[in-house]
Order: sequence, then structure tokens, then C-alpha cells
Amino acid sequence: MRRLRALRPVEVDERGLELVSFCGHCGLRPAPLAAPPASRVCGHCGLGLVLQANADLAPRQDEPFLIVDTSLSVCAMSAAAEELFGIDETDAVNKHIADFLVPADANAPSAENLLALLVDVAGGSGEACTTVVRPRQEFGVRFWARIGPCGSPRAALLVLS
Amino acid sequence: MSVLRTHAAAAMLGVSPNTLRSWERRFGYPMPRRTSGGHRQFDLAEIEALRQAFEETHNVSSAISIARERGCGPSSPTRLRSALRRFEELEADRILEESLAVRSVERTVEEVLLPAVDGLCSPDDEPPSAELGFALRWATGWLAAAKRVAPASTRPEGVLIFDASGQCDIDALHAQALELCLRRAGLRTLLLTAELDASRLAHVLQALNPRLVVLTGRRAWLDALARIAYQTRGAVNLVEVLDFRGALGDADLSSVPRLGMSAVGARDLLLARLNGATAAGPRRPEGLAQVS
Repeated sequence: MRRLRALRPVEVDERGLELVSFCGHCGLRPAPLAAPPASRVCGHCGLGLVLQANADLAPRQDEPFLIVDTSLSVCAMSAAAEELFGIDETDAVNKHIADFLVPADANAPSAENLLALLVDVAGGSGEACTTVVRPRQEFGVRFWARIGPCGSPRAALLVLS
Repeated sequence: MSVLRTHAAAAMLGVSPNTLRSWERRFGYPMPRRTSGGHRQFDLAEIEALRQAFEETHNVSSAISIARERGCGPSSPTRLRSALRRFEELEADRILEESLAVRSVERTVEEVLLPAVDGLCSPDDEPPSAELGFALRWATGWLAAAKRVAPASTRPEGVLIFDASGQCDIDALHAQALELCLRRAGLRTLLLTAELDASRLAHVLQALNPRLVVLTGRRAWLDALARIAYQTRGAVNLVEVLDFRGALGDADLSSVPRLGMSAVGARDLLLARLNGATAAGPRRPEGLAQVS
């Protein structure tokens, strides 16, 4: 009985992979609740909405991330990404992702379709993957980027590490 | 306008009052009004629009951006009436433009414009308010602009509308709405005052050659309307005279069919009559008879 009490319910996606919740602004993972929360607004920072993504993909604390829709517009930017790019989220929202990130190596096969990859993932047909990106107009800086689906509503999550 | 205190608005959004106040500082939205005692009063429609936007986006700033773009929720007679009460012409225009994005012109007139102005009407024995006067002038202009961009007539039949409404009278707007609906249905229309000089009626009938004559407005003497009906029937063969919105009152004129109170409903009835008449056979070519 004691072991059973230690069990916790885990949400999974259609492929059986564990889903975790995180704030679209501060990235914190809310503590699991017995009942669904009254609102999607993050109780910690009050500036992000709680989203879900695969446990492997979801940002860990202080990892900068962006959320992009099928039109490649930035839908959300984390507080860490605000610092990284030196822009407020309110100014970044609705801008094109290419205003912030471009493939690090234009000749690399994995990078050549960064935008197509984001569109596929945001549209629901692409798989999670990893690629290398760099900030636009900056050279010598590289980031590993984990890209995969998140929601809701469905979009592409791009976590920089 | 429905308003909420801070705690109620925060509870509706599922956040703490402090979070709501922090959004006000950071985003300037939702922006409450202040009571004389300094308490915040949030607009219910703004809070509802924000709550809906949370379901469609990924962060609070996007949701606020969406809620701002949408305004204070869907276009409704209440929102339009509120704008008209504040004499905000641009806001009123914007509400109807928003309505046109989700409704036809006819539905916008019937479901938003007319009920909004109707709600500003004062009882018959009281003088009209400044708000009603402004609303009627603005609505008249809007309907006239909509009529100007209506497509050209595609049917040969004409409909003549006699409006017996007075100044600052909502019936005048309904008459305009009926004309707009008929014009958009492809008919030739003419809207005239019922106080027309009787000697000019023959000229009007010759110009339009109407198949249907509609009497509307409740401010005319019954005998004046009866004279119009009599003269029209005498002048034009097979013309039918109809009553829209009780122009003839409770008079027992069983020969004058009633079209009801709604412009769209009246349009449908008129079209059914015209289509029925067309199916029954072509109109006699002689058209007009001499007015005695």
C-alpha cells in the first residue's frame, strides 16, 4: 500500500511518451495537482501559460526557449531567452523566428531545413530532433537546439542549450 | 456596461489579484476604471475576451494582444449602444466592421444596429435624448453608405416604400433597413415620405413601375395612407400594397397584407410574392393605367 501511495499519475502522448507541464515564460514545472487548475496562467511568474511537451524536450530551469507556430512567428519567449536576445517578450511576439535564430552551418544537411522542420513540427507532422543554430547577426556562438511539438495550442518548441 | 471588482475579475481568470494588477502595470491591459473611492472596476467583456484568448495562445502577452485586437468581445447591440451613448462615432463604426467579419450585412443590421438604436429610444411622450438623436443620424448615414455599395439591380421588379415615420423615429431606420435588404436582393427600390404631394404620385409610379408598394411608419393619418394605396392601385395594374411594421395600425384593412416587424422577414415575404407572381405568369405589358 505504501508503494502504491508513492505512485503518481503521468500524462502521456499518443506514442506513450511522458508529457510534462512547464510555464511558457519562466519555464518552471508546476507541482502536480489533484484537480485541474483553475487557469493556465503560471502561478509562479503570472506571465506565462502552462504548456505541455515531452519530458525529454521540455526546458529545464534557466534554459532559454522559444515557441513558434506554423507561420514561423514567435508565439512565446522565455525570460531566459529575453536576456539572451536582449529583447522583451512583448516586442518579440509575432516576429519571424529568423529574426532571432538561423542555422549555424548553412551547408549542414540537418540545418538546411530548419524553417521547414519548425513548420512540420508545429503542424504536427514532424518528429522531435536536435540541430545547431546561432543568433542572427552573431558569429562564433553556437547553440544546440532541441526542437519538438508542444501545446496547447500545438506549436514547435525550440529549446537552446 | 457590466463591471467587476478586482477579486471577481481575478477569480474569473483564475489568477491572483496581484497578478492582475501586475498585468495592468506591465501590459496596460486589462485597464480598469476607478470608482470615486479609487477602487478598480474591470470591464466584464475585456475579462471575458482575455479568458477566451488564453485558450488560443502560448503566453499572456500574446493573449493580451489577441484580446486587444478583438476589442471587448464580439460585436453586440450592448457594445454598440455603449459606444453611441458615449458619442463615439469611430468606435461605433469599428463595432459594425467587426460584426461584418462574422455576419452578413442583413444580419448586422437586424441583430446589432437596429436593436442597439432601439434600446436608446425613450417613451413616446418624452422628447428624444441627445444620444438617440446622434444614434439615429449615425445609423442613417451607415445604412445610406451600405446602400451606396449595394450591387446594381438584377431583377426588373420595383418596390416602392412609403415611410410615414416622424423625426427621431426608429421606424425610419427600419424603413431604410428594408430598402437596403431589397436592394441587396437585386430589386429596384424607392423610399419616399408618405407626405408626398398627391399630384406627384403618378410621376413616381411611372418612373419605377412598382410591383409592390409597402407602407411603413406609424405617424401618418390613416386616410393619407389609404389615399396612397387607392391611388397606387388605380394607377398601376396588378400592384400589391402591403403593410410593414403596423403602418395601418389596428385598422381592419384585410385587403392589405402585413409583412411583420423584421426587415429581413419582410424581404423574404416580398420575394416570395414576387417569385410566386413570376411563376404564375408574366405581367401584363400595359403596366400603368391613367390616374384620374
